[in-house]
Amino acid sequence: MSGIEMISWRLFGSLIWISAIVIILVKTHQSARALYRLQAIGEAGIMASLALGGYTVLWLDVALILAVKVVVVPKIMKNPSWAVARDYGSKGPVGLTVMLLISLLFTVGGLALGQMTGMRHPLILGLLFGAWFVSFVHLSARYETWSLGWALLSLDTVSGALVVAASGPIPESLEVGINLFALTTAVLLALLARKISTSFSTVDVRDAEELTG
Amino acid sequence: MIVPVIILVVLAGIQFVVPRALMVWVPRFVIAIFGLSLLGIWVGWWHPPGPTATWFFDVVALISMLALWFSEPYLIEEARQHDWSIKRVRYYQGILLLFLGSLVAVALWTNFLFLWMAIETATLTSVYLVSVPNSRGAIEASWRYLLVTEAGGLAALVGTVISLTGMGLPFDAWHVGVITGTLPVVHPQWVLVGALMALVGYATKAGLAPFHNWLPDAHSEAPATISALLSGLKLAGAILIVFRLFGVLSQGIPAYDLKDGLIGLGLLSLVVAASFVAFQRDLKRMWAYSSIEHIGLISLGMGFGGIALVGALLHVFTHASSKTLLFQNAGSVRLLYRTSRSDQSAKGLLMRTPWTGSLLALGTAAIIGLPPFAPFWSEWLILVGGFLQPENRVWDIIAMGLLVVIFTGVVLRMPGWLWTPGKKTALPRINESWALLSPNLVLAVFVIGGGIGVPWLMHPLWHHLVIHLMKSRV
Repeated sequence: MSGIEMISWRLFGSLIWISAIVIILVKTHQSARALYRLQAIGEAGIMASLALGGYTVLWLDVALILAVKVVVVPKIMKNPSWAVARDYGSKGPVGLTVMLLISLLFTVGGLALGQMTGMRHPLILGLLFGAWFVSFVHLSARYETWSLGWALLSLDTVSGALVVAASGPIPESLEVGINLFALTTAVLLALLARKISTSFSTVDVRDAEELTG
Repeated sequence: MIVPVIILVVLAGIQFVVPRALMVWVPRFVIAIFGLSLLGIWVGWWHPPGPTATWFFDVVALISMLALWFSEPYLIEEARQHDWSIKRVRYYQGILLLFLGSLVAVALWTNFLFLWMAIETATLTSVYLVSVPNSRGAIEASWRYLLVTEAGGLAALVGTVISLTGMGLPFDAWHVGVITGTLPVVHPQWVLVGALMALVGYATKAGLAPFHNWLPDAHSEAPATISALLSGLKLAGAILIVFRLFGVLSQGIPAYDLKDGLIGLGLLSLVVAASFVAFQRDLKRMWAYSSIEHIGLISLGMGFGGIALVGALLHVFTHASSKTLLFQNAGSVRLLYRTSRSDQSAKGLLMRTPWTGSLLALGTAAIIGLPPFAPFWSEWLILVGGFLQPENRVWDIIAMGLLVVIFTGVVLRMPGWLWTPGKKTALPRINESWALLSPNLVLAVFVIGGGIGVPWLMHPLWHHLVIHLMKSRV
């Protein structure tokens, strides 16, 4: 792997990781959407780095990721004002700090996992594992439907990057499939978030917990 | 093996555009196709790839036929009672066919990433189907179902890729059962880490505890046909993928590392079912907890291996037929009584709706493992198989104890639906629809005699399957 390739891998891997952390903390749907786009650019960047390294067919994947995750998914998830947070999952400086510390802790765990012998790109893999764990934290740390939706989509993007970083290029049909799933997930998330808003008059999933026991 | 899936996807597409008068004919056509494909396997026109795939395809085809048969009158009545628009019915039917197509893909496809895509399609389509009633409960259930199982699905994807990459296998070899002999493993730690991730991911899809929290909600709120297919086929499909993946990975790392995970999750699922089943007052919710129990039993059987593994594969069929009967029957109860809760008006079933009540009693006797019904034989094989292995005997005895608790819980709860408590009052009889009863009566035949009858009828396949399973390292 050439020096430029290595630098771009690190750059785009870091972009994915940073976006995964900041997307937990943001207060509005619009900010989350912008961060998701950045994360998708990170995934496309990793693909582009591989394409530059000789896997020219991956340019198709780069175009696909940019089209689906930078353009179409944010458009599907573009909700009206009802989707803006009514309250904030990590309220105040303490909540924010705790969330950052937890993210850091999981990143350290990810980096340690990446250092297990033998895998190529241990640092990038570790960083992506960190981002992956942080996305799982996001799924349990926030309560707004829009934030949870972005958490799932963020997890999807990090997983896509992680798969490529771990195994190298995957067949085109699978890449298309994975992006199609991201698209379908976004459609379902938007549909169900809207239904929750209409039926329960809330964007907080804690208000929609009638099924118990 | 892509042709049957393509046929179903095309028919699903047709369902979205076909004129209203012809809408009922597409599912009928699908029933005929499933029937023909079963006949084709019977007479040797075509063969799915391997005995496990053939067995699971047979189960998928048979249960899908009966579920589609029940779905037609059920949908008409459900749409009438809850004012479903024709557009909603059309979408429901079209996506149901896509869901069935994905289950067929789970049975027939062999590449692990394509299998992942198949189970993902099953998840996403069923999330929509669970939300179709559009009630507050259905919306909440489908939201939780989507979030939890999609997160699990992504864990399964990453786990599958990392474990197979760790095995040093090229993508072309990421297939079920193509490796013979022991491989020179490149990175055993990665194989184990990936295997555990895949186990967690697919366990989430299968509803194994502690990743089960979406299941009782989704099963209880979905339309009856969807609850039946989710419980009988989709859960089993997910656990079957992880079992097949472990079959490949066990050629690189010690099988007991993988089997312990299946046994642990299986036992935990029995604990969860034992803790909750006795407190349920909604019929569908009770069967949902029972599904956690039975998928736990299948996981236990796969973890024990040997005869128990044969029992686990038989249980895929016996559980699917019994649970389809019970969920469809619970759907009939909801339509007839406008509820399936015993603390509301769904009681005195044996007196007011004797056929529906009798089928409920029959299905209950079967699902709690009473002889001579079908699930008894498969549970017997799983438990005896576990007991025969000294290293698993303790876990097997714990499982037996938990099954007794579940048995007691269901037996104590069931009279609440079957009879009316207190003084006998002259509650009026309710007219039962033969259209709803007929598919359940056919299912009852399988529930009564299927445990021995189906392996006997399909003797050559069953013979191959048992030989194949007894060689398995997992």
